[in-house]
Parts: sequence; structure tokens; C-alpha cells
Amino acid sequence: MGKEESNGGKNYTGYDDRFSTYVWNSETRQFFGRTGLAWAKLTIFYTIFYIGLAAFAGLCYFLFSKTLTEEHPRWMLGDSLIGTNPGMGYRPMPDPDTNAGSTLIWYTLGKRSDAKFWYRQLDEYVTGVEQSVYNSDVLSCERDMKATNEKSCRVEVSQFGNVCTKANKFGYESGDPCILLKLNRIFGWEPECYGINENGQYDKKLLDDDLNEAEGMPSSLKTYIFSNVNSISDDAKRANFLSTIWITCNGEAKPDQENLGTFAYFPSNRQGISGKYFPYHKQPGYQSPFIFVQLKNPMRDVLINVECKAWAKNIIHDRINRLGSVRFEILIDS
Amino acid sequence: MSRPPPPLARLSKRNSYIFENSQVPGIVQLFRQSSHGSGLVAAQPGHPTTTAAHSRSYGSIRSPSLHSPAPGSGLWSMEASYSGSGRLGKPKFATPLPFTPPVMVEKEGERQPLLRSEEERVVLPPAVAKVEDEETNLMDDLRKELDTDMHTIGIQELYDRLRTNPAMGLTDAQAAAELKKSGLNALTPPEETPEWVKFARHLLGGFSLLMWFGAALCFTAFAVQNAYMSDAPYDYASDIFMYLGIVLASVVLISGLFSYYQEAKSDRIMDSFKKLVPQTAQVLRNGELSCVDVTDLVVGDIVNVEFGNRIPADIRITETQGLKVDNSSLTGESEPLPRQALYTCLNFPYYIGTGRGVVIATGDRTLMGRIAGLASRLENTETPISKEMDHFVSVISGVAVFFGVLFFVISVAMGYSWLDSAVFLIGIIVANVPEGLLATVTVCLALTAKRMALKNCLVKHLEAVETLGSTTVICSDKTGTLTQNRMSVSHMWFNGEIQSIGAKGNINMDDPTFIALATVARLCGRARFKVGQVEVANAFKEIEGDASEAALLRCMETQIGNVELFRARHKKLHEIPFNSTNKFQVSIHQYDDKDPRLLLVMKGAPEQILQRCDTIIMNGVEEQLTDEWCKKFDKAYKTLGNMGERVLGFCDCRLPLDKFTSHYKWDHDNTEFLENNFRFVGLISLIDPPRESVPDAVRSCRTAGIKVVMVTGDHPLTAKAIAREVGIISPGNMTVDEIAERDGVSANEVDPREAKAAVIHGDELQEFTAEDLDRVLMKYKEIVFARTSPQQKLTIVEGFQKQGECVAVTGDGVNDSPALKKADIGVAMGISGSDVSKEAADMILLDDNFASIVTGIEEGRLIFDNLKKCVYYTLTDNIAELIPFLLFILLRIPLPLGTISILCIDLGTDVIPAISLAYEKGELDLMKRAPRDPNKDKLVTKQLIAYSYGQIGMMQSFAGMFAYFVIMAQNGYLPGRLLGIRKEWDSPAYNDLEDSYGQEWTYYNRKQLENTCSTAYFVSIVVCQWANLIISKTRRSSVFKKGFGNHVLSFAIIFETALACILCYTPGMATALKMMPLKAWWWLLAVPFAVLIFVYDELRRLIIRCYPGSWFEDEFYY
Repeated sequence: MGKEESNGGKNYTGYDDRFSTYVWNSETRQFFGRTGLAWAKLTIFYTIFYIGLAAFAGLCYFLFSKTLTEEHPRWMLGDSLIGTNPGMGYRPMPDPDTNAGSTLIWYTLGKRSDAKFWYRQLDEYVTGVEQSVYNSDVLSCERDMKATNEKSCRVEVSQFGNVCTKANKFGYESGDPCILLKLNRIFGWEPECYGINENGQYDKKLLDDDLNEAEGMPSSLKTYIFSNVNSISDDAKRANFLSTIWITCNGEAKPDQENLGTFAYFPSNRQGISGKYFPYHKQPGYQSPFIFVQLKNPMRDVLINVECKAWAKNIIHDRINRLGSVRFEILIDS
Repeated sequence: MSRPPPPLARLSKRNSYIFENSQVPGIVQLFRQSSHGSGLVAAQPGHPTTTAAHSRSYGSIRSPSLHSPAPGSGLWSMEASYSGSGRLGKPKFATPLPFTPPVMVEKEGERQPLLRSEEERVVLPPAVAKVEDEETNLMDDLRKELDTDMHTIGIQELYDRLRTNPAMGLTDAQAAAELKKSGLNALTPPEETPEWVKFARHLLGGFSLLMWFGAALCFTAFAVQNAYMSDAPYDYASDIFMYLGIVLASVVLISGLFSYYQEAKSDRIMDSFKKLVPQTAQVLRNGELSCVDVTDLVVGDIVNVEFGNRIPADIRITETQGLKVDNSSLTGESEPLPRQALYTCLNFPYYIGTGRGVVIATGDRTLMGRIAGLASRLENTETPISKEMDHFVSVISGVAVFFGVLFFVISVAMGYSWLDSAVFLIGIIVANVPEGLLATVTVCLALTAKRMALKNCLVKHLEAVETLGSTTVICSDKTGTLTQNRMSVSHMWFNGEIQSIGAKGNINMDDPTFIALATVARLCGRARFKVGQVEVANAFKEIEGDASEAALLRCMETQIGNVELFRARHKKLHEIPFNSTNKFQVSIHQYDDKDPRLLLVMKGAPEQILQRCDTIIMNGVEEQLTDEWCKKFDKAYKTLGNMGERVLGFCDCRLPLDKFTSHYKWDHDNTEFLENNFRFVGLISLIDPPRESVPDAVRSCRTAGIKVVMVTGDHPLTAKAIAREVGIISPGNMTVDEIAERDGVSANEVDPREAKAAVIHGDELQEFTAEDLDRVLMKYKEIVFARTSPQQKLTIVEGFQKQGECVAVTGDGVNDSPALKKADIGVAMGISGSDVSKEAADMILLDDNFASIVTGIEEGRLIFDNLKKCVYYTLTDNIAELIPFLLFILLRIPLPLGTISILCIDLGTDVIPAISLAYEKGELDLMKRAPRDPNKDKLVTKQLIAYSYGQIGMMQSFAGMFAYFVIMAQNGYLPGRLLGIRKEWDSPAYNDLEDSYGQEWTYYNRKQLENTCSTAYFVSIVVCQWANLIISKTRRSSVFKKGFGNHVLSFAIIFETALACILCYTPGMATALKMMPLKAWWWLLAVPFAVLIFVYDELRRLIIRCYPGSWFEDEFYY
């Protein structure tokens, strides 16, 4: 650039012949073409100008912020860009500071510190959930109780049984890691579950139709739902069971599926998230519902792509944009 | 970015030294001498033939004589010369002032082979130019003069040397061989730059290099990411690099193609001028006369030249009968010259008489070819606007590189990866470079060029459009530009009084003296109206014949009418046509009044006529011509001469019946009828009057602070008279000589400071040193250069340029072409201009009218102002494009404005509004202010940058950021949440990023939101640019005063908005350009800021108007 300037100076007699003269002209006592006084004036002007401009913008934003409430976002669901199709999240995640773009859960079996990095995240997460017991704003939803716009349901840690627990180090040390899966919170979103009509009642025919129409749903899930529904005698209980966002996991491609062992889902009585936790309305103390999926004895030393999907009538899967699903990799070195 | 100083410019300086000091025979001498009136056969200093007596073969030596403007300055187009219109030249009436006694010499008979060329030393260019490999040598060669003896050797020797034969001509075989050896007899067209070089220039000029760098960076990033991160789960990011790289490269390619196309288009305009009418020449070959294409002429051919032909090459005349040739195109002389031994050039129309000659040079080796070659080798000066653009480009590139490097360093220091930092660098470059601006400027210039073409200013290079606006000095040719190039009668002297001739009616038609004068004027002349012009008004009828006679005829037809009928009634019995030896013309008529005596009428050089007279008619009464009358005559003659007019004397006589009856046997060799005593009837003076619009135009130039200088090859008195008439010398100002005359002292005693005007003769100029010239150019406000040679014109132009002036030159002849080329803007004449001058010029006045130049100046100034507005407008949103990047890096917020959106603004919505500013009318004072000072009034000033970047640009940035934050907040991300969120936000691994309301966003939805914000930012800029466009209309006055008459601008706002809507709402834009549909009221977010911009700028202009010269104006008026 310096060269350019000096060239320009040659052709342009109008500009000071030498750049150094322009920087400091001792004759006119000008610094970059202006005297100290001129610079001072200019500085004062621009200070006032920018303060004024910032104040104007601030005023605009202040007036705008009056149209916002703390209770809910200005736009929700379809009006908002978040849309009506929730994505999914998983825990544990790689370190955001060193591996922001990665979704790989990678540790060496038998290396304590390695595994600890991962299960500690789940520890913390579960502990946070357990704290809500002390929050009186949170209902402990028994039976058919459901979250309201004001109060949310408590997520009972006990329902996950004794496999994916702190005590068990969430299976990481034994090489059968538990992965926490949850559905993205979308303000006011409620699932439309399979087999339940508008009145919230079980409808057998509807269930058959819904499951037939559910594109790509693994047959194992269908079998699981049918066998459970059939084993329940009471329609209300069936409705309660069916009021679920089902969750399945699988290897992304054929080799992944072969390398993976079996999956275990917790809570064991419901392979998914109960509908009672919805809608999310920024209720005080709201806890995201979640399930654990345990990868039982996946192939060692092989990177396995795992894809988990949430199933409900109003969840559309989009693999590229990760809608209605989540994807992560696991690599356990022996 | 700035071009290296043209090597040839330096060269020309060195070579001009050669000019100035050249005493060797050659072009310089040729011109100078010929400008003395001795024609091409001028003598060399020190050569024995220098003395006047030696000019005896030129009976009409035009020593320091008064010679008046004459027709045929410049090279007439073929049609004109063939048609033999009223402009055709005629033998010159030499009209020396009474106080400079005419040199009368006898001349041998006219029809005679010219073999005595010893005395008629023609100074010539080399007959065969040495073809040097090196351009410099060629230049030197062109400027040097080599002597040739082709004109001095005996004619037989010449024939022998050329291996030709006057009776047989060349044989076909010889001609073919010679043609093969020396090529076609045509001027080599100037070397054309190959098309691909032109195209490459467009691809590499301006901001292109920076853009290429950006594109290269994109491709590198793509390659790096593919090579090292191919196992990364998401490969979308590298796709973006690829995409962006391709977009950037296409932008450069397309804008390069565009400007290349524009240039090619304006080049094509020129091609239309090169209409090639095949010409033929009569050539003696194999002993037979045959018609041959002029291009096939070869050295040694014997050619016949006839009335109205162009002389096809440099020839040596071997036989002649009253041959006169218009050499004005070479010499600036406005009159055809009598020619005997003659070397003239290709395309020279030659006027009267017939002749035969032998070709001694063809094509580029002709005299004209050499001048054309010289002109085409002078480097074109860089136009002011291209200097401005270069400057602007380097400033903006500098800013872009500065910001780019600064933030590259900052981002690396902040811990961003190299790849990220490189991405930032690309973004900053793209944001800083106004991609569409250069194309916009081209379009603005093209629009103005089109507008100017409608007003008869045809611009050859787009960049020359503005040059007239920067012009500080106009060096104008006289003939044809300032004057009508048509002789007309301006004064008559009879009854002892000077009468000025205007429209019909101010002369007493019954005055017997006038009748006598009119009778002579009507009868003694050969000019006649062309047939078939009954419907045409007198003033516009075309006339066949010499210009002076045509003027007389036209005057008589207007004043009295029915000249043809009058002539028919008084049958012509005998005549002696004008020749330069006796300098008069006589005819003898039957005159059907009561008196049966024949009437002899005579006109000619006044002193010649007076000599023959004994009596003078006074109020119808014949009186003895006393000394008193002679004094009166002298006085009138001198007065008219001082007015720069050509004066003709008229007398008549009744021939005694005893000797001369209608049956008298008239004989050319018997001139006994001249022995009578004649009666003097009066004087008629002629002038080539200035064009009507010229005085106004000159005044406009003056008001506009432009110095108008006349540079002519014509006589000083004529030049001065016209200069006074058109206002180049204003009424109050006197030259040194005039002051001397007024005070009755000699010129040396006059205080030179008193004189504000100067008339400088070519001879004086020749003696000048460079310092002298500088002093003269500085000192006098009003200068007329007379009797100048082409080299002197060049010197004058260079002199002005040395003082930092921007010089416009007008001219039409081949001799003007070096000056035209050297000038900042050369203006050639479309009608009378020679092809060579048109080739050398930057602009062509289609109507040859000086007043059109004023239009050009006004348009040039307007376009400069408008370009300034246009640049201001376009630069403003640069800062609004840059700020998002800076905040993105520094605050780690999601990117508020994407790179593609920036390109949408720069190449989409901004373009038409910026162009519409070219249609903006001028702020009233355009032609009242001084020309811009190229050192101070830049296209892009620091005030402009400060105001557009620092103030309005910042307002736009605030508007955009406001829209960004509003949309983010409405969707759930309050500003506080956004700070520092970038890493998670931009990581696809985070499929559940929480917002301020606890909602969790997938990567996909976040990006949708980000793109929506970017679109809103884009729309905010569009909205702010509405206001910005409106405030750009004026720089000083209120918008309300200026009004909203620019409908193109109104359309541009609508167009811009529509385009933004299309970009926003067309399905598929989300993937193609990452543009998202916006809720309607998001468009309104920027409105408060747009209003603020408008009000703020009105306020600024109000303060500037109220406090002119204040600190505020200094800093904020751009």
C-alpha cells in the first residue's frame, strides 16, 4: 500500500508530494492535513454526533422493547422462524471450546479421566433436574395430569431406573454409554401423538392408520407400540401410554448398524417422552423432559454414526437440516 | 492502479526541443514559410531565393500583406470539392496595405513546364522515410526534416530516376512491381490495440485485482477445507467458499465484459466516420490515360489533376494551367495557393486549373502521411476523469486493504482460526469495494455522451465526456469554428463613406454611385448560382465559384436581386479572368442604356485598380481623382484592412466607340482596351463573419472562468478583428501595438503591464524561449496567436499544460492533429474536419460550431457534479456493509449481513439509483463558477469520504443493526443473549441452542433466522438509500428548492424497491441468495433512520448555506 501511495503522490500533485509531509507538516503545523484545533473540533463534533445517533437508535430500541414481554417471544411457532418442527439435542457433547464443530463422543475405555469428561456432563444435567424437586412451581404430574400454561411437570429422575445413573457412571466406564436425548423446546408446541384423537382419547383405527402413514418408522417401534397397547386393558391408560413422542436410535448407514450392539431405552416403560410435559410456556422451573438411550457394547475402535429420531404426527424428519432428529458419533477405543 | 507515466510524453518533450531549434529545412520550415504566404515554395533562410525579388515566379508574393479569411480552410470533404460549391476557392486578390508597397513582379507565362526549380526550393519531408525498427527513431525521424532533391533536380533527371516517361507513363508491370514494393497509397491506420489486450485491461483494472484476490482467497479456503477437513461431518461450509469464489469471479468477469462492451460501442461510433469512398485518379500508363484507384498509385506515375479533384499523392507538377491548390489542411492557410512546382498530399482537394505531375511519394511517405504519423504517435494525455477514477480506486482499495489486514490481525489475535480470519478478510474486501460503481460510472458517462451527441458533440472516448468540464483553456481555431467559413460582404466604400452592409435596406438603392458600383459588382464575376434552387432563400443558395465572387453575388442578389437576368441583358463580350500577376479581372459588356459604348468593368486589388483610374464617381458625378481623394481612399482602405477584411477595388470605363464595337475582334493577347482611363467606383470589403452564436458562447466561457485563446494560421489583423468581434479580446482591452498607436509612441515605450491582450505572430513565437512563452501565457488574459505552424500549436498547448491548465483544442486540418492529440481534449470539426484530425481528436463537433463546445463544457461540469453525487451515494452504504462484519468479529454475534447480500446491494439495488443521478439537472451556478481546480476539487474528497462513511453511512449502519436486533429479539434472541454466541451459533453440532425465552433452536432454524436478519439489514439499507438518493440530488441547495423533476430518479426508487421485493419474496431465493421473506412491517424498521438522514442532511445544507466559508462548510461540504 505504501508503494501505491507514493505512486499516487507522484501523479497527483494535489496531494501532498510526500506522505510524511501529509502526516506532519511542520510549516502549517498540520497533522494528517489538519491542525490540532481542527482535529479537536472534529473530534468534539463526531463525539456529539455519535452520542446523538446512539441515543436515537437507543430510543428506537427502547420504544421497540416496550412491545416485547418477558413471558413469551413476540413471534411463536409458525410465526417465528423456529417453526413447528422441533429438533433434538443430545448429551454429553464435545468441548465447545476445542471442538465446536464436532459431535463425536470419543474416549478410551479404562481411562478414567477420559470417560469422566463425558459422564460428568450427564451428572450435572441430572443433578440440575433433581433440584427441581424443591421447586414448588413445578407439579409432580401423577397419572393423567398435564402441564398447564403456568405450571410444568417435574421430570422424575427415578423413572430412568438404575442403569443410567450417577452411581453407574452412566455406563461409560463399562463401555455401554448412556446418551441423553431430548426434544428442542419450542414455545407453545404440543405433540400430536399417534392413535389419539382430538379429544385426547385412544382410537384404535386411528392408531393403525397413523402408524401405517408414519413414513420410515422402524417396525420394531411399531411392534413395541402395538404390543404395549394390546397389553393395556383400559383405554384411558392406553391414551396415557400413547401420549408419547417416540424416540428411536439406529446406525446411520448399514455398517454403523452392524457395528452397533443393541439399544436400551430408559424409562423402560415408555420408549419416548411423555406428552404431559408439553406445552413449553416458559413456566417457572421448567425442565426439559428427556430419555436415555444406552448403547450396549458397541464395536470398539470403530467410529459409529448414530441417528436418533423423534416420532409424532407433527414431527417431520429432515436429515440434512437435522429436524426431528439428532445425529452423533461414538468412538470407544479399547 | 495508477498507470506509469506515459513514456512517450517524455519523449515528446525532448522532441519538441528539436522543433524549436530546428533551423534545418523541413516540415517546420515548410509550415512557417508557407504561413508567410509564399506557399510551399518558400525560401530557406540564407538561401539566395529568400529575397522578395526572387519570388518573381510568384507574381503574387504575399509579403506581409493583408490577407483575409478565405474559404476552404480545412480539408473539404470529397463531396464538397466535387460539387464545386460556393466555398470553392478563387485566385487570391492580394491586398497589401497602402503603407506597405506591393511588390510587383512580372511573371512569365503561366503555361510552362517548370524546370527551374533551383529557385523554388521546396522543403520537403524525406521522400522515402527510413523505416526504423524502434519507435523512438521513427518519432525522431518524423520530427526531423530531411531534404530531398526531387523538386530541384532537372525534370528529366527526375523521370530517369523514377524510371518513368512523361509521354508514356509507367508500364503496368512497373506499376505492379512498385506497388508490391511500397504498398498501397493510403495512410496506415493507427495501430490498434488487440481486442484481447483491451479486454484484459478491463479484467485487471479498477477494483478487479482486489476482487480476484478475494476470489482466490475463497478458492484457497475451499481447497484447504477440503484437504484438511474432509472427514468433518458437515461440508456445507466449503461449498459456501466455492460459491462465493465463483460469484466474485463472475462479478469481475461480467463488469469487465460490460465496460469492454461500452468501450467497443463508442469505438464503433468512430468507425462510421471512416466511410471510404473509392477515389480514382487519371493516370498515364502504357501511354494511355486510365482511371486508377487512388490507392494503386505508385511513385513515378504521371497523373492529371483537374478542377475539384483531390491530389492523390505527393506529386511534382510538371505542367500547369492556373493550378491552385488548397493546402490549408497542411498549413492552416485559408486560401488556395497558386501552384507550380508542387508537392502535395493525399486527399488534397485542389481547386482551380488543371495540371499534370509526377508522383514522388505515396501513402505514409507523403507530407500528410508524416504529420498523421506524428500525431498518432503522440501519447494521448490521460483524461482528468480517469485520473480521478484512478485516484478514487486507489483510495478505496487502500481503505479496503487497510481494514482487511487490520481485522485479519485482530481476528487472529482474538483467537479465530486462520480459516475464519481469511473468511473475514474476504467479507471485508467485498464490503469495502463498491463492485458496481465503475460500471455505474461508465453508464453515466455513456448517457452523457449520448446526450451530448444529440447536441452535436460526439465523444469518441467515454472518459472525454467530462474533460470539457475541467477545461480551463480553449485554444480555438478561427476559420470554420469561430467564423462561418463563408465570405460575405461587410462594407462598401463609395461617395467617400464607409457603409456597412447588413440586411437589405440600409443603402440608398437610387444612389447613382451605388448603382455604378453594383453594376460592376454584378457583371464582373464568374460565380453563378447552381441550378435548381428557386425555392432556396438567397442566403442559403449554393454558388459555383470562388468565395469572394460568391460573396459578391450573394450580396447583390440580396440587395438588388435578379443578378442572372441582369447579366443576361448585358452580354459579356470578352473577359480576362483573374490571375495573380495582374491581380485584376476585367470583362467587357454590351450595355443597353442610351449610350452605345461598350462597358468595361474591372475589379481587383484596390491599389491596382486605383492606379488605372483618373476619375472617381461621386454622387453620380465624375470627378478628377485628386490627391485628396487618394488620401481618402488610403484611409478607407486602411480602416477596412484593420478590420481584418479583404478589400476589393472596383472601376469601370466606357470604351471609345471608334475602336471597340460589338464586332471588335477580341483577342487574349491584345489588351489594348486597358489603355483607357478608368473611373473608380468604390471598394467592397469582405470578411468571413463570425458565427452568430459565437460571441455568446465566448462570453459563457468567460463567465465560466475559461480562457479562450485563438490559435490560427491566418493573418494577425484578420485574427484580431475576429477576436474582437467574438469577444476573445474584450472591448476595453488593448494590445501593446494598439496602445502605442493610441498614444502615438513606439511599441517599445508602452508599459507592457497596461496591455491585457496580445496578438502574437508565429515569427515572434518562433523566437520565444520556453520562459518567454510561459510569461506570455501567464500575463495576458486574452491572447491571439496568428500565423502559427502545427508545431507551434503543439508548443502552445504544451505551454499551457505545463502551467497545469487543462487545454481543449479545436481544429480541423491535418496540421492541427498533433495539437489535437496533445490537448487534454481535442475537438475536431465534423463537417470540415479532415479524417486525420478526427482520428486525433477526442471529440467531434458535428455542426462545426464553437457554441457546441459550451454545451460540452456544461455537460462535462454537470457530469462531474453528478458523478460526485453518484460516488457519494454508492460509497455511503459501504460503511453499512462493513460495520456488520466488525461487530461480528468484535462482539461475536451472528453475522448481521451476509456477503451475498452485500453483492445484492452493490450490484443490484444501488446501480439504477446511482445511474439516475446522472440525469440530475445542474445546480444553477454550473456555468458561473470557475473550472474546478484539479488539485483541490477532486471527485472524491476527504469531505465526501468523511461524510458518507462517517455520518450517513453510520446512520445506515445503525438502521441495519436496529432491524437486526429487532428481528432477533422478536424471535427470541434478545441482544444480551447474542453477545459472544457466535461459536455455538455457527456450529452445526449445536442442534439445540437456547434463546432468551428458553426455546431451543436447531442449526437450520438459526441460520434461517440469521438470513432473515441479513435480509432485513439489506432492506434497511434499501430504505435508507431512498433518503440518501434524495439528499444526493443536491449538495448545497435544499431538496425542496431543487424539486423532484428527475423522473428517472423517482423510477429508480421504485425500481430499487421492486428489486428488493423480488430478491426477498421470490421462492428459491432462500437457497440461491440466502434472502428470506420478511414480514411487511419489518420494512418500516429503517424508516425512522431514513427520516433522520433526510432531516439531518437538510440541516447540514442549511448550515452550509447560512455560514459560507465556515469551519462547518470546510469539513462537511463535499
